[in-house]
Amino acid sequence: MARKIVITSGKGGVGKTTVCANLGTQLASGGAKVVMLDADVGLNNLDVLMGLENKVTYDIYDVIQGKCRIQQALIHDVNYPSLSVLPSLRGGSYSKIGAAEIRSVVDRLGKYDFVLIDCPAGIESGFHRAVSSASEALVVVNPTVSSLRDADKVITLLSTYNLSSINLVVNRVRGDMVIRGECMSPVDISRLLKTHIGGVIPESEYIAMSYGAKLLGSDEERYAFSLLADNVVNGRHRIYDYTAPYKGILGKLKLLRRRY
Amino acid sequence: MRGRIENLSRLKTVLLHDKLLLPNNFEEVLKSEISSLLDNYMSVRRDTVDINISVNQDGEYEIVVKAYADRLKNTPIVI
Repeated sequence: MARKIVITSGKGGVGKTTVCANLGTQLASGGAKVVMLDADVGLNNLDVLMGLENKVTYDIYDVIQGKCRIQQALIHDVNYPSLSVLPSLRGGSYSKIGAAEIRSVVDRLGKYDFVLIDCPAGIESGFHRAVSSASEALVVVNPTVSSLRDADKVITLLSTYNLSSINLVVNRVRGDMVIRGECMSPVDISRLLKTHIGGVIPESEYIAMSYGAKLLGSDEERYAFSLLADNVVNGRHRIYDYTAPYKGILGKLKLLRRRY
Repeated sequence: MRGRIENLSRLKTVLLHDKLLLPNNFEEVLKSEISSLLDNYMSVRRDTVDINISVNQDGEYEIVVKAYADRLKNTPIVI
């Protein structure tokens, strides 16, 4: 029985697809069989982030219409054989895809360990379409007032679904700014939103530039995502220490350098 | 650049404000259901039932129900 986890946020541009792709990669590197389903119908990018956009032959709509089997639509990652992507609709009328259709596709993925559902931004029909297939949720937030306000609304909406867990992924955390008291910390955010933290991901120019096999930029990001994956697998709430790069003499110098 | 304390304060204010925007008819529906529940046990004057919902500084809803009843009903209570 697959664990069906929706990656959502409310606000756009906070890193849902990036978190989905990197989490999927981490889970697969640990041996789990993972399918990432791009439920961002119409504005899909998961295939691009995975570097698989040229391998799309069939999409989710073809599966729904019965034009192909689900195994034919899945694109297997070259670097992680147990990782697959089910691409979103490439074009046409996505209004024809409802929650029931997505759910029927997700239900056919039971032999996998994890189905990660990349949710579109907003709280309209696309949100409900993605969430109604899930049994767990990860809410991706940035440490900004606008992102957290939207996340609060999303968490309220998620609580009306029958989800076994709702956890936060605080993305783009700048440890130097938290240390200097210029930015809200993940602990502040968790307390205000009354939601556990599933992961903390540091701000990184490598992540913004990465795709495909180059995902998971530096050791720091790789470790942060591995903690997130471990938390997801084992139900833990271990937090990546975003202050670690700024400890010690070299860390203090780095802190000074980031200020100016 | 806004600091941590200022951002926290702004966020708290925004969240409290959002939480006070209850869905349409929410209080009416709640009042009706609570009146019906109370009516099982006492002769409640429905026009006196009042519900006040506010949000405290911790972001929790505070619900105060006020109602007047003339007498208890002879309802067997099973605990």
